[in-house]
Amino acid sequence: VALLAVAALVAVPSLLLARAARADVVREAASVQDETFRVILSRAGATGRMELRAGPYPQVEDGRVFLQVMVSANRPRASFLLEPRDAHGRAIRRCSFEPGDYRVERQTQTTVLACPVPDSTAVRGLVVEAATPIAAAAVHVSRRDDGRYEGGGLLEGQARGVGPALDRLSADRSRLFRAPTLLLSLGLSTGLLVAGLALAIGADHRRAD
Amino acid sequence: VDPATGFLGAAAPRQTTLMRVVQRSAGRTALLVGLALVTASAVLRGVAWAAAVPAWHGPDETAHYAYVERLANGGFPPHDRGHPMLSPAVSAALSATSAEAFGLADPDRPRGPAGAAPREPPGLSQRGHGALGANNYPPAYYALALPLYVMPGLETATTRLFALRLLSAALAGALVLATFALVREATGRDGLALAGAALVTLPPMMGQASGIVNPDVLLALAAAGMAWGLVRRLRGENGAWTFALIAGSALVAAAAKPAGGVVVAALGASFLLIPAALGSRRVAAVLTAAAAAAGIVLTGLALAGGERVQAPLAFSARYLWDFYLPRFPSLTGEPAASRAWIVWVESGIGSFGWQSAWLPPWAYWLGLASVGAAVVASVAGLRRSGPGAVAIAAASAAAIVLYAAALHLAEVESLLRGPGQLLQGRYLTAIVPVAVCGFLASAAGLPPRLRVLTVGGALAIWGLLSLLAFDAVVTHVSW
Repeated sequence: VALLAVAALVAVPSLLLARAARADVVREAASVQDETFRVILSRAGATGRMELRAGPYPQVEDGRVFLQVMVSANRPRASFLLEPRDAHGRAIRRCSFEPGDYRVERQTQTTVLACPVPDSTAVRGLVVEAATPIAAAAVHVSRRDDGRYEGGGLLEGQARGVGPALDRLSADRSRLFRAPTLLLSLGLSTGLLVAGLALAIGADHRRAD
Repeated sequence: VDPATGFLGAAAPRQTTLMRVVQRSAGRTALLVGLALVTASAVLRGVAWAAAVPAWHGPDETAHYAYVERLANGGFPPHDRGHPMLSPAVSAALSATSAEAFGLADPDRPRGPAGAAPREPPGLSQRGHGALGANNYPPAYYALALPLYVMPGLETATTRLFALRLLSAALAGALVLATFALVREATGRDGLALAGAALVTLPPMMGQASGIVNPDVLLALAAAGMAWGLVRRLRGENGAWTFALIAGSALVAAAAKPAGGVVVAALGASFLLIPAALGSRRVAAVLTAAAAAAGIVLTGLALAGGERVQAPLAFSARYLWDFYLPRFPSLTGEPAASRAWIVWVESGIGSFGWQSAWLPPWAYWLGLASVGAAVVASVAGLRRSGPGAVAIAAASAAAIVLYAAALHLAEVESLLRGPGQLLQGRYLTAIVPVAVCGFLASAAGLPPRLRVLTVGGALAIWGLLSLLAFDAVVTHVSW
């Protein structure tokens, strides 16, 4: 019982903290039907590879998956590889971009990369590889050239590690209710629930004997 | 099965040897320790939710806080009509905690303990007027909150808000104890009673209700208490304690929320009429005839009333379908998580609880599958149960349907009159203890292995959903 309880006590807040420590900001965006959907983006690692889960997108004629990424305007030397994926994780297309293939918008320090897809409704994800860590990215599907989003999400990089994670978990809460209270009470609650039920089951078994 | 009452009797071995006495005593101690741990767990879950939900972002939390603030300063919101005004202390707190930025999920909301918002000065005036949307609420919950509000050392509205949230966490502990008593009374089994006590606060909506300033959890506690009294009465316990329990709980329910009276009526009608109908053909015939007559009158009114009556009825039916039944994504191309039937798995954060932190779509299907499996298991269990358990399960189911139908009608009526009040969803938390009781009273009839599997499965699924929802809220708020 004690082992189970301690395992639950430690594991649950540790998982939450670990997720917070590795998290990039996840944004939600509205599709054309004005239904919200979630775009889940895994972190951009040191290699600059990220896997984005996106969609479902509407049927878009001559659809292209757009990726808007932050790039230094002074040194646009990064090359990018975009691979829209279907629901089974299979690549639908493979588009590569060398530094001369894209133009950096100086004001926003971003560039937009477009990868044509035969069927926009099939897109469920996007693998991005860049020669540089990606600080922020937006992904959407559109056939319009005016930059209007028809659906998509946004990834923002943010500081990783336990310290920043504890800060984020403490955002604007009363002093006694910050990350330590949140994690400790969650862990204790889970541990005590497991212990209480395990004790009762044990007692039931003893009585059955 | 006790032939006198038709209930499953509690295990009561004859204490013929010292060993049996020792074993029974050890079992009872373990049970009490287990109950204490499960109760503490619910209180701590409330504290965790209090820490997870940003300040002022429980549903209508500003209004509920304002009610306590008015009481503490000599006012009484039900008498305050018109010209609502937040106190300077609350206005400053809303700015200092970036409440609007969190509410709108503004990308620039604070990402750490020291946000960009102005500091909240201590000792600001608590004078305001009215309690916004809580003006017409009865005062029981807010009166209970007063001692926490006036605790020394609380200088700002935000610190007082978090102190008040602890009342809901404490009430969640009381709800666990009341549900234990209710299920034990209904099943006569300690293990099932403890499982019910653990289960009742696991649905994410209950978790959130345990960590915010809102009378929802008090109403659920009163409903559990009243149901306990009604089940005692069914078991033939007609003493003064039983009637005091029923009357006291009914009073608390009515004084907790405007919907409290509806809970009392639904519980009272179901637990008085359904067992009576099951026990007497004459009563059953009278009730059936009354229901048929009401149906005929309503149909006649609908036919005679033309479009003016038929249109609202059609709207009501369509809305009911939209609310409770899944719009299958394969049919509509819309994501499963866009439907309101997910209320039982709703993590509920922001405004009214509708602006929710979403769980992964499979979590909603898991919740729905769990409820479906519980219904199937309940029907199977009832086939092997005595009439007492059947009466409790049927009365519980009727109470849920009556309460949900009453909320639905009130909601539709208000929607047709104007902007409308959303009453279903979070309001259903009041009936959760009764749902747990009905499920476990039925499951008690299952063969032992199947019973453990069914109840253990429900605990595992809702425990997982509870953690997932918590994670969704923290994720939604913090990164």
